[in-house]
Parts: sequence; C-alpha cells; structure tokens
Amino acid sequence: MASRAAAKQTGGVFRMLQKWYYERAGFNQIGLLRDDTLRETDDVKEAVKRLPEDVYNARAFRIKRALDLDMKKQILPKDQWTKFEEDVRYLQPYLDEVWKEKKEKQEWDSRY
Amino acid sequence: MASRLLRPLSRRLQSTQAAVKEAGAPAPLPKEDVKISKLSNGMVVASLENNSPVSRVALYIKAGSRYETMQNVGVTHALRLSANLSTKEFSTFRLTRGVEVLGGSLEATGTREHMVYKVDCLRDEMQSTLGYLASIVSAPVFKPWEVSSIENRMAVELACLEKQPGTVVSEMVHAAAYRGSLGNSLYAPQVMLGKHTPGMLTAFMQQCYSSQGMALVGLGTDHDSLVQLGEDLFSVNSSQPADKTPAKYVGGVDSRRHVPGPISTAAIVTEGSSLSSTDLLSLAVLQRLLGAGPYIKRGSDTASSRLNRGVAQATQMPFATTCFNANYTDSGLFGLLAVAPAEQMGTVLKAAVSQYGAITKGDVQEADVQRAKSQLKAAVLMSMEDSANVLEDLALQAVETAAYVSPDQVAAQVDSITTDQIVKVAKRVFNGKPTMAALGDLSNTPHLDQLV
Repeated sequence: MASRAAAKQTGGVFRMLQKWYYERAGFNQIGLLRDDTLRETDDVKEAVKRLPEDVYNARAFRIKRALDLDMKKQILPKDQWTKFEEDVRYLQPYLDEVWKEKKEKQEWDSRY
Repeated sequence: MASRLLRPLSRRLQSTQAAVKEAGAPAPLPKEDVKISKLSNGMVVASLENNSPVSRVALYIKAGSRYETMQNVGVTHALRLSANLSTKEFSTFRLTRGVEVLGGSLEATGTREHMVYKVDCLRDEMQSTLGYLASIVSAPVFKPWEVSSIENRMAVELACLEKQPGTVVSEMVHAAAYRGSLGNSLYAPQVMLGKHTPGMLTAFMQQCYSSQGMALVGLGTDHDSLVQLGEDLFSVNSSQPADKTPAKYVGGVDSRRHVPGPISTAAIVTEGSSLSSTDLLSLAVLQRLLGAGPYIKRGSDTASSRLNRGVAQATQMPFATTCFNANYTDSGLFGLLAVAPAEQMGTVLKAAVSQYGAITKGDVQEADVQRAKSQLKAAVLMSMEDSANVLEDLALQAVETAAYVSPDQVAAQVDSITTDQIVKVAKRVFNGKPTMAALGDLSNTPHLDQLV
C-alpha cells in the first residue's frame, strides 16, 4: 500500500515535470503537436508518407498555420493552445513500423 | 616440368572414373500414380510423385475474373499483383527474402476461372515455403501504402498488354460473347488504375478464397505430407465460397476498335464446347484440322493448316490465321483469329470463313482427319514433357472434378473420333450466333454481317 502510494507519487511528479517541460517548449502556443515538430529524417519522411489522408491534411494545416504565426511573430490566443493531455502521438505507430522494417532488413542483410 | 606433374594426376583421375563405372547404375524408382484426396475442410489435394529433387506445388482457387462484379472490376488483376504484400506474420521484405533463402520461387497468375499460386521449392523446404503461401492466401494485411504501390506495376502490365493485339482481341471477343462472368477481362481497365482499395481486395478474398473452392496440387511431393499441410495451413476460411454465375453465351456482337496502323487483328467466334461436354475432343480435332500451328518455325504452315491453305490461295501478302478454341467449365468459344495487313483483311477473313463453311457441307478428307488426330495426340502427349504443363493439367482436373484422366486415356479417346462426328459438331458450332472483335486499322475489315 505504501509502495503503491509511493509509485503514484513518483508518477505524479514525473508527470508534473513532463507538463512543465511541455509548456516551456512552447510549440503548443502556435498550435502544433509534438509529432509535427519532429526533425524530418528519412524514417520520419517515410512514416509521414504512410499517414492516412485526413491525418496528413491536419498535420499540413497545423504546420502551415505555425509557420504563418512565426513569420508574423504572433501566438494563438490561450484557449487555442494545444493542451498537454490532448497531445496525441499520431505518428508514433507509423514510426515504430518503419523502424521495425529497417531493423528486419539490417538483420537479414547481415545474416545472408 | 608442368607436364611431368600433370601426368600422374591424369592417371589418378582415370582410375577413379573406372571405379565409379564398375559400381553399376542403381535400380530405377517405380513409376507412381496420381493420388487424390478430399479433406475435411473441403479442399482437394492431388499429387504425383515424380522423384524430382524439386517440388512444384500449385494452389488453384475458384476466384478467377469471372467472379468479379461491376463494382470491383479488375480486382483479380490487383490481387495477382498484391501476392507479395505484407501478411499478418510476414512483411513484404520477409516474404521475398524468406522464399529466396529457401531456394524457392512464388508466382501468382490467374485465368478466367481460377486464381493460381505456384510454388517451386526444394523438396525438403516444402513445409516452410507453403507456410509463406498459406500466410499470403489466408492473412494478408493490405496496408494502404502497399496497395497503392501496385498502381505502377499495373500500369506497366497494361502498357505491355497494348503491345499484344492478339491478346487484346481475345479479351474483346470474350467480353463481346458473354455478359459478365466469362466476359470479364483478365486485366483491369485503365480507369481502375489505383482505384482498388484494400477493402475491395479483402472483400473479394473473403468471398472467394474458401478452402472449399481450393485445390492444392503437388508434383514431386509426398501425398501424406501434402494432405497434412493442406489441413494445417489452409483451414482458415472454410465457409461456402461465392456462387458461380453460369456463363451464358449471348453473341451477335461486333466489337471494333480502330487504331490507324499497318496491320489489323480480328477474331470471329461462335459458342464452342465446355470442358465437360462430349464434343470437347471432336472440336479439338476440328481445331487441328483447320490449323493450330505453326509446326515449323517461321514456316508458312500451308501443308496441314486448312485455313492457311485457303487464305494463301486468295492473297500473296503475309498473314496469319489460326483456329481459336477456348474451353471453360460451363461454356467455350470456337472460331478464328486472323492477323493481316490492313488492306488485305477483307480478303483474308472472307477466304478463312469460307473454309469453315466448306466443312459444314461435308468437305472433309479422311487423310486430313487422321492427320489432325495425330497432331492432337502429339500435342497432348508432348506438352506432358514439361512438368509445368503436367501440374497445370492435374490441378485443373483436381479443382473442378476431384478426379484425374491421364493424357494416355485422352489419346485413346481421340482415336475413337470419326469424321461424321466432326462434321456434325462443325455444323452445330458454325450455325451458332457469331461474335466478332477487331483491333487495329479497320479500314478494310468487314463487319460481321458482311462475313457470315
């Protein structure tokens, strides 16, 4: 019981740290999600190619809006900021799959 | 110096060779028969042990282009192209490399009635290779980005198809002769490029890829292990497969596509015989009589081809005529396929069609019939030299009838055909409603009503 409470406490602390860091990063103030900000390496490019059309269009819109705001040196009104709880890692499953395929290819190329 | 070293070496090799010869040749293995079993999941398993180190296995599924509907035109073409795409167990990469590392090969083809997956592998690796095939057939994932990648390959295949006017005319004449079912083309139309969705492919597979409509056929395999693999690997979908719309020959249609150019290709057909009809072999003899060569490469083939002889008397220009004979489970087409320079097409077609008319009036020589029968027997028996043809023949019989008639039995049946039978079947076929398809420069190609 005590250990469970202790675990929840550390979970809570870590989560608070995460939230603080998220707010400090500030990309949510121009309406972006974390996966919009990933540096476009080859893996990320391949994963983005695999996104369904509606998800891709939403991503393109958010990036365009963010670039526009950055150019005008403005940020969105506070009620339109992306909330930490709503930040969905939409690209992560596709990235995982690309990574898995890459590993498989490397493993087979090294073996045979 | 070198020759002094080589001399004792060559003497040593000669003595080894002599020793091997003295050991004697081993006794030949017994000739096996075809074995056919029907499994509890409805699948038919057939095999012929030919003691080859390579096993050739074919999976025939009753899912040919005749099962397509108006909404998913060309889906079988897309399925053929998606045979290598990811399954639940294996990624595309793994399928390719996995089969390669086993020393096997995997091929997906299709006919109007069947989807065919062919696997060649070393005898010892049959279980693993069939494991890959089972995964492809029962559990494909159809990821959207993989399915959209077949668009390029389909475009290449369609472009290659345009270069083969004979094949295009054959597709046109089938579409003209039948409404739906056997009239559905093997190839997707240009407008459906990139429009086959994963949902469409999955739906078609769920409807048609049932073990009750499958036959697993092996050449150079052990029958019991093939039966076991059939039970273990292919029992995923044992539901009732989709109904087969009966093919109804309609005919009377003149399908023309004019493309200015040097040559014209045309086909004129009527309803022939189905694979289960008693007229099947008589029509096959009639086909050889009319001319289904060539028997000599780049020859004029006038000696044994009645069509070529008749047309050669009418024109000096190059041409090619052959008797078209297609047999399916419930219908068939019989007629003529001709290729000629555009200006000569009228002459060629009129001369060829008049040969057909002459036969219905009984103008058939006994010697010609004998020659046609020998040619048919030779063609059947010689095609059995290639194990690919043996496998295809065995598989088609297994999937449709679950029984096997050997080529020797067929050859014996051919012997019993008489000239009267041939004239009778010719009359029935030629008096049917004709259908025509023409492609190329049609400036001198007559219409159907000007010919028959």
